[in-house]
Amino acid sequence: MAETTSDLFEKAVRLHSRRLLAIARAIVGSASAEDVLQQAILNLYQHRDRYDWTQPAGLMRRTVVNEALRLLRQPRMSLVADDHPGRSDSPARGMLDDEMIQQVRKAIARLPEHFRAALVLCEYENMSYVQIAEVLEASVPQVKTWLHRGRRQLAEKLKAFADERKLKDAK
Amino acid sequence: MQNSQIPTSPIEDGDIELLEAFLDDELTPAQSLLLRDRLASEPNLAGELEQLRAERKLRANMFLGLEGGEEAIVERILAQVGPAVPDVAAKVSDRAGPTRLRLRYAMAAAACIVLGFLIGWMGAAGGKSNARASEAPYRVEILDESGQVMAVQKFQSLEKAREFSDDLQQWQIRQERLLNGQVTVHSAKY
Repeated sequence: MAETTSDLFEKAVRLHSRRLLAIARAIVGSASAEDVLQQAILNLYQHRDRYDWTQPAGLMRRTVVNEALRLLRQPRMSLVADDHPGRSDSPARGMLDDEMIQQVRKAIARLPEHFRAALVLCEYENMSYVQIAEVLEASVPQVKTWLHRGRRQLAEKLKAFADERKLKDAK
Repeated sequence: MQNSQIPTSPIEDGDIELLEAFLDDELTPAQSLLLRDRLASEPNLAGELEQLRAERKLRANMFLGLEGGEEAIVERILAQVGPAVPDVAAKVSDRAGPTRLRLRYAMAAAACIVLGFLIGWMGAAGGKSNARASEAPYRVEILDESGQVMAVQKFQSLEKAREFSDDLQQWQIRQERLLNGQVTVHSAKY
Protein backbone atom coordinates (compact mmCIF):
# COMPACT_ATOMS: atom_id res chain seq x y z
CA MET A 1 0.00 0.00 0.00
CA ALA A 2 1.34 3.41 -0.94
CA GLU A 3 2.37 5.64 1.95
CA THR A 4 0.28 8.72 2.58
CA THR A 5 1.72 12.21 2.83
CA SER A 6 1.27 12.08 6.60
CA ASP A 7 3.20 8.82 6.80
CA LEU A 8 6.03 10.22 4.70
CA PHE A 9 6.02 13.42 6.69
CA GLU A 10 6.31 11.62 10.00
CA LYS A 11 9.01 9.35 8.65
CA ALA A 12 10.99 12.36 7.40
CA VAL A 13 10.69 14.11 10.76
CA ARG A 14 11.94 11.06 12.62
CA LEU A 15 14.76 10.43 10.16
CA HIS A 16 16.17 13.95 10.02
CA SER A 17 15.45 15.40 13.45
CA ARG A 18 18.78 14.49 14.97
CA ARG A 19 20.72 16.62 12.50
CA LEU A 20 18.07 19.32 12.27
CA LEU A 21 18.10 19.77 16.02
CA ALA A 22 21.89 19.97 16.03
CA ILE A 23 21.75 22.65 13.31
CA ALA A 24 19.20 24.59 15.34
CA ARG A 25 21.30 24.23 18.49
CA ALA A 26 24.37 25.49 16.67
CA ILE A 27 22.56 28.55 15.34
CA VAL A 28 20.25 29.62 18.16
CA GLY A 29 21.60 27.71 21.17
CA SER A 30 20.05 24.79 23.01
CA ALA A 31 17.48 26.83 24.88
CA SER A 32 15.57 27.84 21.73
CA ALA A 33 16.49 24.96 19.44
CA GLU A 34 13.38 22.95 20.26
CA ASP A 35 11.18 25.94 19.49
CA VAL A 36 12.92 26.40 16.17
CA LEU A 37 12.53 22.76 15.23
CA GLN A 38 8.91 22.74 16.34
CA GLN A 39 8.00 25.84 14.36
CA ALA A 40 9.85 24.58 11.29
CA ILE A 41 8.04 21.26 11.42
CA LEU A 42 4.75 23.00 12.03
CA ASN A 43 5.32 25.20 8.97
CA LEU A 44 6.13 22.17 6.86
CA TYR A 45 3.16 20.27 8.17
CA GLN A 46 0.77 23.06 7.30
CA HIS A 47 1.91 22.97 3.67
CA ARG A 48 2.82 19.30 3.55
CA ASP A 49 0.82 18.61 0.42
CA ARG A 50 2.98 21.02 -1.58
CA TYR A 51 6.23 19.18 -1.01
CA ASP A 52 7.87 16.04 -2.25
CA TRP A 53 8.44 13.98 0.87
CA THR A 54 10.52 11.37 -0.87
CA GLN A 55 13.51 13.78 -0.85
CA PRO A 56 12.89 15.97 2.19
CA ALA A 57 16.40 16.55 3.60
CA GLY A 58 17.15 19.81 1.78
CA LEU A 59 13.69 21.22 2.34
CA MET A 60 13.77 20.45 6.06
CA ARG A 61 17.26 21.83 6.50
CA ARG A 62 16.35 25.04 4.67
CA THR A 63 13.21 25.45 6.77
CA VAL A 64 15.08 24.97 10.05
CA VAL A 65 17.85 27.40 9.08
CA ASN A 66 15.30 30.02 7.97
CA GLU A 67 13.33 29.59 11.17
CA ALA A 68 16.49 29.88 13.27
CA LEU A 69 17.56 33.06 11.49
CA ARG A 70 14.04 34.48 11.75
CA LEU A 71 14.08 33.87 15.48
CA LEU A 72 17.43 35.59 15.86
CA ARG A 73 16.16 38.62 13.96
CA GLN A 74 13.19 39.11 16.26
CA PRO A 75 13.39 42.09 18.59
CA ARG A 76 14.59 41.33 22.11
CA MET A 77 15.85 37.97 20.94
CA SER A 78 19.51 37.35 21.53
CA LEU A 79 21.54 34.21 21.58
CA VAL A 80 22.52 32.86 24.93
CA ALA A 81 25.56 30.66 24.93
CA ASP A 82 24.20 27.71 26.82
CA ASP A 83 25.74 24.47 27.81
CA HIS A 84 24.15 21.61 25.98
CA PRO A 85 25.14 18.46 27.81
CA GLY A 86 26.11 16.79 24.55
CA ARG A 87 26.48 13.09 24.06
CA SER A 88 28.06 11.42 27.01
CA ASP A 89 28.48 8.25 24.97
CA SER A 90 30.48 9.92 22.22
CA PRO A 91 33.67 7.90 21.73
CA ALA A 92 35.62 11.02 20.83
CA ARG A 93 34.53 12.79 23.96
CA GLY A 94 36.95 11.15 26.32
CA MET A 95 39.91 11.90 24.11
CA LEU A 96 39.20 15.54 23.48
CA ASP A 97 39.73 18.56 25.54
CA ASP A 98 36.26 19.35 26.84
CA GLU A 99 37.27 22.78 27.95
CA MET A 100 38.47 23.65 24.47
CA ILE A 101 35.23 22.38 22.93
CA GLN A 102 33.27 24.52 25.36
CA GLN A 103 35.33 27.48 24.23
CA VAL A 104 34.61 26.64 20.58
CA ARG A 105 30.92 26.48 21.37
CA LYS A 106 30.96 29.81 23.15
CA ALA A 107 32.99 31.41 20.40
CA ILE A 108 30.62 30.13 17.70
CA ALA A 109 27.65 31.42 19.70
CA ARG A 110 29.17 34.89 19.59
CA LEU A 111 29.62 34.97 15.84
CA PRO A 112 27.20 37.02 13.74
CA GLU A 113 24.20 34.88 12.80
CA HIS A 114 25.07 34.48 9.12
CA PHE A 115 28.67 33.53 9.85
CA ARG A 116 27.40 30.91 12.25
CA ALA A 117 24.78 29.53 9.89
CA ALA A 118 27.24 29.35 7.00
CA LEU A 119 29.78 27.56 9.18
CA VAL A 120 27.26 24.98 10.40
CA LEU A 121 26.02 24.25 6.90
CA CYS A 122 29.55 24.02 5.52
CA GLU A 123 31.30 22.02 8.19
CA TYR A 124 28.50 20.05 9.80
CA GLU A 125 26.22 19.51 6.82
CA ASN A 126 29.09 19.42 4.28
CA MET A 127 27.18 21.62 1.89
CA SER A 128 28.85 23.32 -1.06
CA TYR A 129 29.19 27.10 -1.21
CA VAL A 130 26.50 27.18 -3.89
CA GLN A 131 24.05 25.24 -1.73
CA ILE A 132 24.78 27.40 1.31
CA ALA A 133 24.24 30.54 -0.77
CA GLU A 134 20.87 29.17 -1.83
CA VAL A 135 19.76 28.36 1.71
CA LEU A 136 20.94 31.67 3.13
CA GLU A 137 19.73 33.63 0.10
CA ALA A 138 23.14 35.12 -0.48
CA SER A 139 25.78 35.14 -3.19
CA VAL A 140 28.63 32.64 -3.28
CA PRO A 141 31.28 35.35 -2.67
CA GLN A 142 29.26 36.52 0.33
CA VAL A 143 29.19 32.98 1.72
CA LYS A 144 32.96 32.68 1.22
CA THR A 145 33.46 35.95 3.09
CA TRP A 146 31.19 34.87 5.96
CA LEU A 147 33.01 31.57 6.29
CA HIS A 148 36.44 33.13 6.14
CA ARG A 149 35.67 35.88 8.63
CA GLY A 150 33.84 33.51 10.94
CA ARG A 151 36.77 31.11 10.99
CA ARG A 152 39.28 33.89 11.56
CA GLN A 153 37.25 35.26 14.45
CA LEU A 154 37.02 31.81 15.99
CA ALA A 155 40.75 31.23 15.55
CA GLU A 156 41.55 34.52 17.27
CA LYS A 157 39.25 33.77 20.19
CA LEU A 158 40.66 30.29 20.63
CA LYS A 159 44.21 31.55 20.39
CA ALA A 160 43.50 34.06 23.13
CA PHE A 161 42.03 31.28 25.25
CA ALA A 162 45.00 28.95 24.59
CA ASP A 163 47.49 31.71 25.46
CA GLU A 164 45.63 32.45 28.66
CA ARG A 165 45.64 28.80 29.60
CA LYS A 166 49.36 28.46 28.89
CA LEU A 167 49.96 31.40 31.17
CA LYS A 168 47.88 29.80 33.93
CA ASP A 169 49.66 26.45 33.52
CA ALA A 170 53.05 28.16 33.74
CA LYS A 171 52.19 29.73 37.11
CA MET B 1 65.12 24.22 14.52
CA GLN B 2 65.13 23.32 10.86
CA ASN B 3 62.19 25.54 9.93
CA SER B 4 63.84 28.66 11.31
CA GLN B 5 66.69 28.27 8.80
CA ILE B 6 64.39 28.25 5.79
CA PRO B 7 63.34 31.70 4.62
CA THR B 8 59.58 31.85 4.90
CA SER B 9 57.15 34.42 3.60
CA PRO B 10 54.23 35.42 5.82
CA ILE B 11 50.90 33.76 5.09
CA GLU B 12 48.59 36.14 3.37
CA ASP B 13 44.85 36.31 3.89
CA GLY B 14 44.27 35.15 0.31
CA ASP B 15 46.34 32.04 0.97
CA ILE B 16 44.27 31.22 4.02
CA GLU B 17 41.10 31.56 1.96
CA LEU B 18 42.66 29.25 -0.61
CA LEU B 19 43.46 26.67 2.06
CA GLU B 20 39.96 26.92 3.46
CA ALA B 21 38.47 26.38 -0.01
CA PHE B 22 40.78 23.38 -0.38
CA LEU B 23 39.52 21.87 2.89
CA ASP B 24 35.94 22.68 1.86
CA ASP B 25 36.55 20.75 -1.36
CA GLU B 26 35.72 23.82 -3.41
CA LEU B 27 38.83 24.03 -5.60
CA THR B 28 38.92 22.80 -9.17
CA PRO B 29 41.31 19.90 -9.85
CA ALA B 30 43.75 22.34 -11.48
CA GLN B 31 43.68 24.68 -8.47
CA SER B 32 44.16 21.74 -6.11
CA LEU B 33 47.17 20.55 -8.07
CA LEU B 34 48.77 23.99 -7.97
CA LEU B 35 48.16 24.24 -4.25
CA ARG B 36 49.63 20.81 -3.62
CA ASP B 37 52.81 21.89 -5.41
CA ARG B 38 53.00 24.96 -3.23
CA LEU B 39 52.37 22.95 -0.07
CA ALA B 40 55.29 20.68 -0.98
CA SER B 41 57.66 23.60 -1.27
CA GLU B 42 56.30 26.03 1.33
CA PRO B 43 56.46 24.61 4.86
CA ASN B 44 54.77 27.61 6.42
CA LEU B 45 51.80 27.15 4.10
CA ALA B 46 51.70 23.43 4.96
CA GLY B 47 51.87 24.36 8.65
CA GLU B 48 48.96 26.73 8.22
CA LEU B 49 46.96 23.97 6.54
CA GLU B 50 47.58 21.69 9.52
CA GLN B 51 46.51 24.46 11.87
CA LEU B 52 43.26 24.93 9.92
CA ARG B 53 42.66 21.18 9.99
CA ALA B 54 43.11 21.11 13.76
CA GLU B 55 40.67 24.00 14.23
CA ARG B 56 38.16 22.26 11.98
CA LYS B 57 38.51 19.03 13.94
CA LEU B 58 37.67 20.89 17.14
CA ARG B 59 34.57 22.37 15.52
CA ALA B 60 33.55 18.98 14.12
CA ASN B 61 33.66 17.52 17.61
CA MET B 62 31.74 20.45 18.97
CA PHE B 63 29.03 19.91 16.33
CA LEU B 64 28.87 16.20 17.17
CA GLY B 65 28.37 17.16 20.80
CA LEU B 66 25.23 19.04 19.77
CA GLU B 67 23.57 15.86 18.56
CA GLY B 68 21.34 13.73 20.67
CA GLY B 69 18.32 14.00 22.90
CA GLU B 70 16.01 14.48 19.95
CA GLU B 71 13.80 11.43 20.57
CA ALA B 72 11.64 12.97 23.29
CA ILE B 73 11.54 16.30 21.47
CA VAL B 74 10.39 14.67 18.25
CA GLU B 75 7.61 12.84 20.06
CA ARG B 76 6.46 16.10 21.63
CA ILE B 77 6.52 17.92 18.30
CA LEU B 78 4.71 15.16 16.46
CA ALA B 79 2.07 15.17 19.17
CA GLN B 80 1.69 18.91 18.62
CA VAL B 81 1.37 18.78 14.85
CA GLY B 82 -0.80 15.69 14.96
CA PRO B 83 0.59 13.70 12.04
CA ALA B 84 -1.88 11.01 12.97
CA VAL B 85 -4.62 13.17 11.43
CA PRO B 86 -5.58 10.95 8.51
CA ASP B 87 -5.23 12.28 4.99
CA VAL B 88 -8.85 11.27 4.38
CA ALA B 89 -9.98 13.86 6.90
CA ALA B 90 -7.84 16.49 5.21
CA LYS B 91 -9.48 15.67 1.89
CA VAL B 92 -13.01 15.81 3.25
CA SER B 93 -12.43 19.24 4.71
CA ASP B 94 -9.37 21.03 3.51
CA ARG B 95 -9.27 23.16 6.62
CA ALA B 96 -9.94 20.46 9.17
CA GLY B 97 -6.33 19.45 9.76
CA PRO B 98 -4.70 22.90 9.85
CA THR B 99 -7.48 24.43 11.96
CA ARG B 100 -7.16 21.78 14.62
CA LEU B 101 -3.46 22.13 14.44
CA ARG B 102 -3.50 25.85 14.99
CA LEU B 103 -5.91 25.63 17.84
CA ARG B 104 -3.83 23.02 19.49
CA TYR B 105 -0.70 25.05 19.03
CA ALA B 106 -2.34 28.24 20.21
CA MET B 107 -3.73 26.43 23.20
CA ALA B 108 -0.32 25.12 24.19
CA ALA B 109 1.20 28.57 23.90
CA ALA B 110 -1.70 30.09 25.82
CA ALA B 111 -1.22 27.60 28.60
CA CYS B 112 2.37 28.70 28.97
CA ILE B 113 1.25 32.29 29.36
CA VAL B 114 -1.38 31.39 31.88
CA LEU B 115 1.16 29.51 33.91
CA GLY B 116 3.38 32.56 33.77
CA PHE B 117 0.58 34.75 35.08
CA LEU B 118 -0.17 32.27 37.80
CA ILE B 119 3.39 32.15 39.03
CA GLY B 120 3.74 35.92 38.80
CA TRP B 121 0.55 36.48 40.75
CA MET B 122 1.41 33.97 43.45
CA GLY B 123 4.89 35.43 43.70
CA ALA B 124 3.57 38.97 44.04
CA ALA B 125 1.32 37.89 46.88
CA GLY B 126 4.36 36.68 48.81
CA GLY B 127 3.68 34.73 51.99
CA LYS B 128 -0.01 35.33 51.71
CA SER B 129 -0.27 33.59 48.35
CA ASN B 130 -1.55 30.28 49.65
CA ALA B 131 -4.24 31.93 51.73
CA ARG B 132 -5.30 34.17 48.86
CA ALA B 133 -5.34 31.34 46.35
CA SER B 134 -7.51 29.18 48.55
CA GLU B 135 -9.90 32.06 49.13
CA ALA B 136 -10.32 32.81 45.42
CA PRO B 137 -13.68 31.31 44.44
CA TYR B 138 -13.48 31.76 40.65
CA ARG B 139 -11.26 29.66 38.42
CA VAL B 140 -10.35 29.78 34.76
CA GLU B 141 -9.18 26.41 33.54
CA ILE B 142 -7.16 25.94 30.38
CA LEU B 143 -7.89 22.64 28.71
CA ASP B 144 -6.13 20.80 25.97
CA GLU B 145 -7.97 19.08 23.14
CA SER B 146 -8.56 15.94 25.15
CA GLY B 147 -10.20 18.01 27.89
CA GLN B 148 -7.36 17.69 30.37
CA VAL B 149 -6.64 20.71 32.55
CA MET B 150 -3.31 22.24 31.60
CA ALA B 151 -3.43 25.26 33.90
CA VAL B 152 -5.71 27.00 36.36
CA GLN B 153 -5.96 30.66 37.27
CA LYS B 154 -8.00 31.71 40.29
CA PHE B 155 -9.83 35.01 40.73
CA GLN B 156 -11.54 36.89 43.48
CA SER B 157 -14.41 38.00 41.29
CA LEU B 158 -16.37 36.66 38.37
CA GLU B 159 -15.74 39.90 36.52
CA LYS B 160 -11.96 39.49 36.76
CA ALA B 161 -12.20 35.86 35.70
CA ARG B 162 -14.30 36.80 32.66
CA GLU B 163 -11.91 39.61 31.78
CA PHE B 164 -9.01 37.22 31.90
CA SER B 165 -10.84 34.62 29.84
CA ASP B 166 -11.77 37.24 27.22
CA ASP B 167 -8.18 38.46 27.03
CA LEU B 168 -7.01 34.94 26.51
CA GLN B 169 -9.51 34.34 23.74
CA GLN B 170 -8.42 37.55 22.04
CA TRP B 171 -4.84 36.43 22.30
CA GLN B 172 -5.72 33.11 20.73
CA ILE B 173 -7.52 34.81 17.86
CA ARG B 174 -4.45 36.97 17.26
CA GLN B 175 -2.25 33.91 17.45
CA GLU B 176 -4.38 32.09 14.89
CA ARG B 177 -4.29 35.06 12.55
CA LEU B 178 -0.56 35.16 12.95
CA LEU B 179 -0.29 31.48 12.06
CA ASN B 180 -2.60 32.04 9.10
CA GLY B 181 -0.28 34.73 7.84
CA GLN B 182 -3.03 37.35 8.07
CA VAL B 183 -0.94 39.60 10.31
CA THR B 184 2.77 40.10 10.88
CA VAL B 185 4.50 40.69 14.16
CA HIS B 186 6.57 43.88 14.13
CA SER B 187 7.51 43.79 17.76
CA ALA B 188 7.49 41.17 20.47
CA LYS B 189 6.53 43.81 23.03
CA TYR B 190 2.97 43.85 24.30
